[in-house]
Amino acid sequence: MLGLLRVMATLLRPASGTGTVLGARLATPEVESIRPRIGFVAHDPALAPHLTLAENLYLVAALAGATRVAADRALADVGLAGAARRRVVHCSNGMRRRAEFARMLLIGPSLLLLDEAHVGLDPEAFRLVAHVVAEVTGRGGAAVLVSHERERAAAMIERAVEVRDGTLAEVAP
Amino acid sequence: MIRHVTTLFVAHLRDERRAGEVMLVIVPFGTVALLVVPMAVGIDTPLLDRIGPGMFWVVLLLFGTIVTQRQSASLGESRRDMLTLLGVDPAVRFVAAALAAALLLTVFAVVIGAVTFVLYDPEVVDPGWLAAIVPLTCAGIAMVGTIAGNVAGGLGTRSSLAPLLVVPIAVPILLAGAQATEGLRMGLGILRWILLLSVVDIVLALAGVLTARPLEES
Repeated sequence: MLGLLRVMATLLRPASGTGTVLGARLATPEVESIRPRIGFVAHDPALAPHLTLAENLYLVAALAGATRVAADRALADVGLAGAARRRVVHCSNGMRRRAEFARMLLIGPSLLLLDEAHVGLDPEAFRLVAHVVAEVTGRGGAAVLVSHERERAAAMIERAVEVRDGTLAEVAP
Repeated sequence: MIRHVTTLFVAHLRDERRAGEVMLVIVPFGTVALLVVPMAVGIDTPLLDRIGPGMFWVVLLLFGTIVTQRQSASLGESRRDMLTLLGVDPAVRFVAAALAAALLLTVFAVVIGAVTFVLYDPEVVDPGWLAAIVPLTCAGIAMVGTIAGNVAGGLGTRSSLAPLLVVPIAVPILLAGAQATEGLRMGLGILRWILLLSVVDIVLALAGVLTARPLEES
């Protein structure tokens, strides 16, 4: 599923077929303009290990044209305000995952792609997935979640598909 | 674009300063490598004077390869994806990574250069030229290493493939650097070697910038 998500994130060219994401045709230069509107959280965190959580968010803010205040607010929203000065190497997997959600809140994507959305989260943090998805869909955006926690995902999804023998099959949410 | 380069350059250096791999691991080992030969040949001053610059360049190549590989490997697939989605041009990432690697390599070269002067006492007619030779050579090695990192990026054999790509291309750069220092030792003109290093650096910079996007998309 990671490969499919990376295709949807325009990071990987489809081996065959065509498709559009946010109005841009895949594997064409059109995708350049829509990439900043895509938020992608892979299973491995996109964090520099020796920077603090705050510094990682500040880096994203600087590249995305956001402010440090917004980065601090995003960290607070995911419950990491108290750990903002902690280096990533000293953080638990759950904290790293929360930091990834903070990144999504910071960049405010129109299309949110979450791989293994509930993995590595403590029960209290499960609500963060719903919070981030609601934030994106509330602005008219869309979210695609890959999750093995079907019961937890059911509350926040409109459509569900399963991969069966390499093909997608629509199932009841 | 310059803002993105600066931001990523600073992040690279901060990450490296905290990790301490160059300053706390590679520099001491490079120093020890230089120490081995004088211990082996004793106080044969003319011989040490003769081989000192060569030892400096060999150690710079071997440990420089590690420095550049460490720099390019520090950016995993997830972080590359994130930067791509943030709209950071691959060429910007190349420039930032190569600049950071060049600076780290230059610091490394200054330290082992000082050790070389202490242990080998090479005779250099006009040491001021080293201020041009060393950074130009380090920049060349850094760019080769960064390009190799991009070529091998995402491959399972990356850690063994990248050094194999770096060394053959870096050897001509080191030959120019070594010839330049030999020229300084013998009191000969070295301008042509400086020019050669400059031209190679410019070619590598252009190659790195122009190939960054195709390599990423492939």
